[in-house]
Amino acid sequence: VSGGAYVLGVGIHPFGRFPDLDYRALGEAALRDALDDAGVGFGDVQGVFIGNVFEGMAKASNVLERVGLTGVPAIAVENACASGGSAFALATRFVAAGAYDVLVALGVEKAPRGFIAESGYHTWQIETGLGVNPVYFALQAHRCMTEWGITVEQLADVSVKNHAAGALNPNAMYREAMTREEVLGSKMVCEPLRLYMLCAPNDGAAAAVIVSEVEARRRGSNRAVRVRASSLASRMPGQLFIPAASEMQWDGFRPSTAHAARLAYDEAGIGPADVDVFEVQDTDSASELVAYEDLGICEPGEAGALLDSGATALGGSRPVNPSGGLLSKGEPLGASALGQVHELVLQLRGEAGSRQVDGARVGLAHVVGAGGNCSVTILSR
Amino acid sequence: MSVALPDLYRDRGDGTAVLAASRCPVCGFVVFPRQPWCPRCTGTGTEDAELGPAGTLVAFTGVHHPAPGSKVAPPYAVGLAEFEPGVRVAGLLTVPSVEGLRVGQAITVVAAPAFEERDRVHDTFRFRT
Repeated sequence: VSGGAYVLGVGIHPFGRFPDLDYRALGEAALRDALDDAGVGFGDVQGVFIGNVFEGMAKASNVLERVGLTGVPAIAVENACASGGSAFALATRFVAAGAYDVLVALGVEKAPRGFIAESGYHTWQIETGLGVNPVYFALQAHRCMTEWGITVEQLADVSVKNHAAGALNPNAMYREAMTREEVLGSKMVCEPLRLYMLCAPNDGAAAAVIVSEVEARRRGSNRAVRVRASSLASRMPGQLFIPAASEMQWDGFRPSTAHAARLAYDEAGIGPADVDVFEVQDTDSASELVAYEDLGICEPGEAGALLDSGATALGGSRPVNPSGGLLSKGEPLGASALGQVHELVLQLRGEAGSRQVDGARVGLAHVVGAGGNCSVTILSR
Repeated sequence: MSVALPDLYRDRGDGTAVLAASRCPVCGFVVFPRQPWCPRCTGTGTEDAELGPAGTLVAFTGVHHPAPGSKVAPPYAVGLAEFEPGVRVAGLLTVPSVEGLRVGQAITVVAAPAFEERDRVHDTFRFRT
């Protein structure tokens, strides 16, 4: 992002379940909210990238039906749980490269409830019960327990921590605090993961108006947040995840989160110690702990101790998921990364209210999912 | 109608089976299931390799919720087994529960029923604990 790109405004439609609203309506709400926040009319927008997984053809321009058919490029990006992050990265890069001055990245989703039926697995995996994501999250969680000494109580505590923050977020689906006992008493899904340790696919939308440095200066906005890095990665061979059946360790292997994080830190010229607030992919409790390590928030094997110290809770020294994370917001796949950007922009502007991280100047957002597709975004005041 | 289970394993006829994998002759990378191209060094022309029948259990999970499209009903158990250092495959266990299992215990690859459909039993590989 060498040429400079700025987030001039953000918008959101609450995450939840809205059977009476289609994706066009959700997208419109988030887009209008972002335009209002930025003080930009849609007539000034030169293109739109939309992150979405589940809708059909021409979905990007279909959302624009409700805002304005101005003839600008309207491009949909499907990249699993990193769809919104990919839309944001593409818009950011186009702006930084000087191709456009004002773009919008929008994420919108109406995700079916429960296990995601189609994540790219092969037929033999699907038919033999090996074709659903929580099986692999559970294997990962079990290894966190045996290799790092993570306990089921700590897995519950990640959910407790994020629900405590989510209770303060009007855009979250679950806005109630939860106790460790409630998490441990919820239905077993894939051992050791229980229902309240897994995020719920749902509906939602979020958007960001991204402008060039020239445009940010011209508009004289002191609320613009700088995009310091926006990196993308996919899986390397041997990553046991969706839809791989095998895991192979080899020299040079890097999980896609660690890969994207390295690219982002290098691009921003900072390290994890310089980040004041993190929004990470807590698809399940163990995934958040793995992200601590892969993003460099802690040393290998130290995730449990970091959690226990309270550092990653709201009010701690290394706050992770002050929005409540996906565990309390739910995961509208294409929108989740833009939801993180929305949260970080509020945090960096000092507008996060009861969730405010004091003095936050640098924030990092991370999503990862099927195919190992991953995006890491670093924003600064 | 047959089910699209590819050639994932070879039944050795002695109650055990081996997994049909590929090894890259250039970089040595092992991949399962079998495929002719190497995902690491991007070369083509991998050689057949077999994993097992003996392996070690690295991780496991008991599945309690029906998986969309699955013909295997819960509860069932899935294990991650290691066959060579760093070479691991996820597969069904022969037991339906992870009760009493421990990491590091030996497993044996076997050919065993996966599910029954229209009075026909379809086999797959499983890890016998």
